[in-house]
Amino acid sequence: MIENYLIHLLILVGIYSILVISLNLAMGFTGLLNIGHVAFYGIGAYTSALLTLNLHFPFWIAIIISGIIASLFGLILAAPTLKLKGDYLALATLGFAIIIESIFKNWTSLTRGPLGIPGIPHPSLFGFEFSSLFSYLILVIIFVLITYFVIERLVKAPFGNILKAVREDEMVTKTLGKNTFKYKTLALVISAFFAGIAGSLYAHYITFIDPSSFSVLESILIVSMLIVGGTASNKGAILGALILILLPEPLRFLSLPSSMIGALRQMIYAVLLILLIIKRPQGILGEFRENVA
Amino acid sequence: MLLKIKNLNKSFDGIKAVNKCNFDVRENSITGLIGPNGAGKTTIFNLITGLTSPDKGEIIFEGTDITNLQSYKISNLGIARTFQLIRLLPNLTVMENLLVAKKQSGENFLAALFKKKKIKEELKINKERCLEFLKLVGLEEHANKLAINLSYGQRKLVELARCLATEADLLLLDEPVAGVNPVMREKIKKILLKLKEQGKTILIIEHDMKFVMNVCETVIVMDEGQEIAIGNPEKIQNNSRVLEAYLGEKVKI
Repeated sequence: MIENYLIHLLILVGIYSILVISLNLAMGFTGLLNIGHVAFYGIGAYTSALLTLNLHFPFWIAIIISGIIASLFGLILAAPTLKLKGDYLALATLGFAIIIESIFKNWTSLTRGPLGIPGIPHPSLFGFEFSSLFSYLILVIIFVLITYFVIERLVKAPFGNILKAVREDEMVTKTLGKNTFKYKTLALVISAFFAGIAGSLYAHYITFIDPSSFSVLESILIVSMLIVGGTASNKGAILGALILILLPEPLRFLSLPSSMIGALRQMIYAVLLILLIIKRPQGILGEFRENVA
Repeated sequence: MLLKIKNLNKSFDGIKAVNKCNFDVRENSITGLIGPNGAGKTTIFNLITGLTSPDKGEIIFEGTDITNLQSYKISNLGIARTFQLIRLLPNLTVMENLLVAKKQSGENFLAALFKKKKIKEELKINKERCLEFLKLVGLEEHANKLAINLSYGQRKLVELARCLATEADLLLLDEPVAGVNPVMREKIKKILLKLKEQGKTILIIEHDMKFVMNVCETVIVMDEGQEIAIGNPEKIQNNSRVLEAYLGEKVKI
């Protein structure tokens, strides 16, 4: 049983890795303080669940459409908000996440609201069903690798150099002939695409989704993972997901009441974040050497 | 004329920063833009490069009206600039700073994903080209250093090199020798003269009068948002309005 438990944790680490790597493109590399990333994750999860359950789409098509729908929402978010900077953008994205969450909660004819959507099918391929934990882990790892290599290639190319330039000084980047608005929009749209993919993977793994999995608190967890692992480093993004998922787990083996475990977990996150921000603000594997005001 | 400023007006909260300003910049010349602090010189640069848009008037570059174009489009037409307070991309290396100025197919995200080989070849050519500009300012050894770790003078030179890396025809330099030691000043002077030889057009804002009078063939003097005199250095130095507004009676150049 212990290995099933470990595989379960690794699957979660994988799904969160996709989320954190994709957030890294917008936040770590482009400097868009997006604390509403969870909205794209939720949109992906609901899209995939509804497509497979109501319209009987196969998982493989549903997961791609989930990514596309999430990136469309990225585009919708980009248009009015990307003129904002820093903390203003953060607030706008936070508002976006809250709106999306309330849609999940209140559009009951589509999402069943707080009751959630049960019975989401496991993916299958040529008659093979990814219902065992181990097979699902392999599936998730494949998607983590795809995400990692796509984002890594993008940031190493001249495209990525421009994203970093936007992060450092948008005005200068404009005067060097780059349409910075286009680059910021692209960063957000690509970032949303992979978050949508992660949402679909989550929905078909747990087979049940409800709005509580896509709350703003969840978004803050994703941002924390990125900060711990290191902004502008994709390896750091995976490390951050690994640490924040695994670190609180030993608490389960202490004989504490479950109400305390939840609170303790939050405290561990908080202490870890504060320590890091003081001692190593760029995160464990982060690339920043000096913070830009 | 490469650049024409026609009846340009810009006010900020009622203060007229640029007020009915007119001047031309001749192709392949070095032109100085001088005047007291607050005369509107940097605002003129911001208007030309599209960072702010004018209330009235026209800016014509190579016969094209660029008055209300976006910054990046203006840059792509061939206008590059430096900033009064140096603006490098601090957490990028010197080479990465210069590479942002280059046009590359790998800027497109689909090309970035699928044309790895082509991008690599292009990048090699662009890096060599950027290295030439770094050699010109004598900083080729610092190519892989983070911009933030350079000294003031070095950063100033990197910004100049980055401006050149755009391959623009018109260079707008905002105080290129302010706070720079005399040796470096000579070096910058030589670089500017060399650029002119190569066919570039340069417009300089500068308070170092010796430098301006030495390097520029035409000087435009601004005061209170308007040009008050245009001419060669000798003419400017003897213009009574200029002496009153800016140079002062006692200064001997």
